[in-house]
Amino acid sequence: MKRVTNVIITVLFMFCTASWIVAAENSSKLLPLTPMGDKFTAQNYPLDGIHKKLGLSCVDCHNETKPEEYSSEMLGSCLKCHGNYETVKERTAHWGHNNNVHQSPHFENLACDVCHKSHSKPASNSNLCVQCHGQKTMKQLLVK
Amino acid sequence: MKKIIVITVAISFVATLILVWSGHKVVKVTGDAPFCGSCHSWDGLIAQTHMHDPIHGNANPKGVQASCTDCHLPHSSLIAYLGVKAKNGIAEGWTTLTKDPSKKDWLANRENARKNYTYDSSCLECHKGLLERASKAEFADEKSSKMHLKYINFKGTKEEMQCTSCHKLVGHKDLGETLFKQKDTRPESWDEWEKQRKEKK
Amino acid sequence: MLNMQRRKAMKTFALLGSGVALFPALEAQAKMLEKDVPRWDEEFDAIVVGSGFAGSAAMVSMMDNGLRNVLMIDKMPYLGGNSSISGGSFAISGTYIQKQDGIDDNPELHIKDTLKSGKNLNDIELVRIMAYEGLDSFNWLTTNGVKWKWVSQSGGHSVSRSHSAGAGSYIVRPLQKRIREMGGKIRMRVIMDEIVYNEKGHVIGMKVREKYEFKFDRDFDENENTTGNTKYYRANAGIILATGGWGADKKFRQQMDAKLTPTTLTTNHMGATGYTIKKLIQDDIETIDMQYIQSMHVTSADEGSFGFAYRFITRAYGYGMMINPKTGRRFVNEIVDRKNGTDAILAMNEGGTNHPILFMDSVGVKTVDIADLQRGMEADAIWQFETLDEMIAKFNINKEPFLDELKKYNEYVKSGKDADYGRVFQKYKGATITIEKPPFFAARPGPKIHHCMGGVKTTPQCLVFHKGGYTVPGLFACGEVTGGRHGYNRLGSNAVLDCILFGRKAGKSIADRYKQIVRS
Repeated sequence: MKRVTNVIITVLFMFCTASWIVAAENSSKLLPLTPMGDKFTAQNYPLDGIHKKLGLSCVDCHNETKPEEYSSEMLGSCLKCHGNYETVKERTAHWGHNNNVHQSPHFENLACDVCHKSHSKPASNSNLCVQCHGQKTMKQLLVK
Repeated sequence: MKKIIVITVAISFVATLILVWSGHKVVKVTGDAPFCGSCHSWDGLIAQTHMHDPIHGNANPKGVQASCTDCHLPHSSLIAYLGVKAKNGIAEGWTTLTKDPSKKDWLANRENARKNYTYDSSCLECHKGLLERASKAEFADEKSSKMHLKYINFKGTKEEMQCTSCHKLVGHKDLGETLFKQKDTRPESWDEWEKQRKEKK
Repeated sequence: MLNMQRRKAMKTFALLGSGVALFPALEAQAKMLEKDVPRWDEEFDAIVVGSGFAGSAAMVSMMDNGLRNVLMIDKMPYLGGNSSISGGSFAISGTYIQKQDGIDDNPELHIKDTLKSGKNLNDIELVRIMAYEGLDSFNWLTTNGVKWKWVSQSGGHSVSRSHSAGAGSYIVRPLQKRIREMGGKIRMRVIMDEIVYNEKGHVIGMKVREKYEFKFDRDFDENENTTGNTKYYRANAGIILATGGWGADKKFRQQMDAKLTPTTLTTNHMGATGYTIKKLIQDDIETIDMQYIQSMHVTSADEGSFGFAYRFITRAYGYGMMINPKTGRRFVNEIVDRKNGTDAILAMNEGGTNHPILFMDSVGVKTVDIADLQRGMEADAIWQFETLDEMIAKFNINKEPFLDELKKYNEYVKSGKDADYGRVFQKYKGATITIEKPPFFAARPGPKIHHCMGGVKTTPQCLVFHKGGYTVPGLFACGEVTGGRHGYNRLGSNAVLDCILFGRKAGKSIADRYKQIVRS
């Protein structure tokens, strides 16, 4: 009886070890997991401002077929409505060359979501430029 | 008796012709760049941005262009057009004579101009079939149709939008940048810097 | 009795087993082998990791040498990393621009300057290759669409040989344009997690995560970022590592050099972490000179990162004077290299509370592009003073000794001999510049962590060494991730030379390997 108990305990421990190792291997997969239906709701991913007023739905911006595959990389879908980078540059040109966040000499056609987070209110200055260029006029520019 | 009637009719006919022709001519001349730009040297740069605009301005490669009043006066009716034209003409004439252009914040005024001095009826005067197109099933997949349907739905509600709520850059190319540069008096070369220093002294 | 012993042994073993399970990281430390790959999601001839100077040059080079099905990946949501935000200066002798400006220069002088700064700890063969073959890479950039703006003297160089394109992105972007024109693929938000080796130890591919979301937080450890979907890319001829340095990795850089505390500022973008170099070390790749991490002193203490004032400061070192406000006196030859300059400033700035004052007069300031000066002033990092008294008041400078020091400085410039620090005064348009004519312009230099001289050990053809002393087939490296070229300290603008030249070599090496594999 004691022997059997020993064996059972050992097997149980080894099983736990093995499953922890397997779980660690898979830890790099995209979160979240289940349940799929509940997670991707308007409450969990709210919109703000003009996108909310226009009543946009998920597929208006996200190109992937399944909600689990959605990422913040819009693959150019922002420009389906917002024209092209030239237009976007013109929109913020009134701040002058040194503060035109859409006319960076460093990055061409910078992906929109590096600064613009549609599903959460950004921290008051999540624009990329201010990380290095902290002049007063740049600090005042809040990402919409 | 007959003679008087004939002469009266003839004179009235000619007079009406002259009046209508000259009235039309005046309205037309006072509706485009040379006239608008003549008083305001301040608006000069703004008028130039219109001239450089490749879609609605003089830089359009197909030769199609909108004049100042095509956008900046309502086209909902002749009375509205003439009425607003007269009102603005007097008000702006007064402002030109009495106020100082260098004190005006032109950059901030762009929003005011978009809201109150451009009219949906003027856009729709040229873009006539736009809203009808949005409601048609065969064009339902166009992204513009989706947005214009929302415009139609919001009309009359508190969410009401204007054409310029989304189409903000129409008609004046690089307006923001041009106005910023106008305001920025910093020298662009060392020679200019020397000149500015001399002038300050 | 035996039963009890056996039970105890089994329990201990089981505990050990579960102990291992509690640290899944230990599992990841082993090299990844082909048999561990569940399936290859995509197949390429070769893959470049990193999209800066070195990575882009490597891509163009391998495509020019015949490879077509190639991919360049970058973990960030933008391309070019530190290269894109750098000044974009290429140091080399013998260019047409130097000839135009009447500058007399040669490779031996370039080597001498480089070895002096590197304290002769550089790999001399690599330095000779850079000095003698660099001109070819310079001209190669010109043919690929790079436009050069001016040539100037960077600290530690004895002549003006730093050719500027204006910004690093003006070198990276033309190269990436060529890559796209030739049909090469470039993907962002893809991070390499593991290199995959076959049973012979050759590199045959990698494990990556696509749709990786980098977290823009300087205190966040990248190893804790679990975003992205795992994929396996096969790379038939191998991979080129061009992942750059780790100046922004607060933990790792301090492990390499204890003096670099978490509050020390850096010029680097947030993506410059030790993520890849740590993996390489775990894979038993040989690294050298890891303890040498350079800070550069042409940045302003009043700006948080690279900022705008550096263009003024670079010129001011050449045509102006730097003093300790408390003593009012100079304390170093202003035109020394980055290591000596940084050390001198750190020795006097009292932990960042007593910044040095570097200033020029209105004649000297004209050596700076006026737009650059205005940007620095807008950032409150450069000040203009109509009189010296205003400057003295603003920075609380010790007046009497300062005025005496300024008098001495101007005499040194006129006589051509700096009796205190041995500085050689540069000429601008034929004449040296004193500090006499108001207004005066001042900035406060503050050193920031900038470049990692150490890294992976490679051959001159960019093959990577294993700790066992042999090169790893299929593994190549170029750029800041490599070590040996710069020794103890790197000269400014030698990095672009290093990255472009060895990036091209890595591209050629991998193309040669591909041809070999295809033939056999």
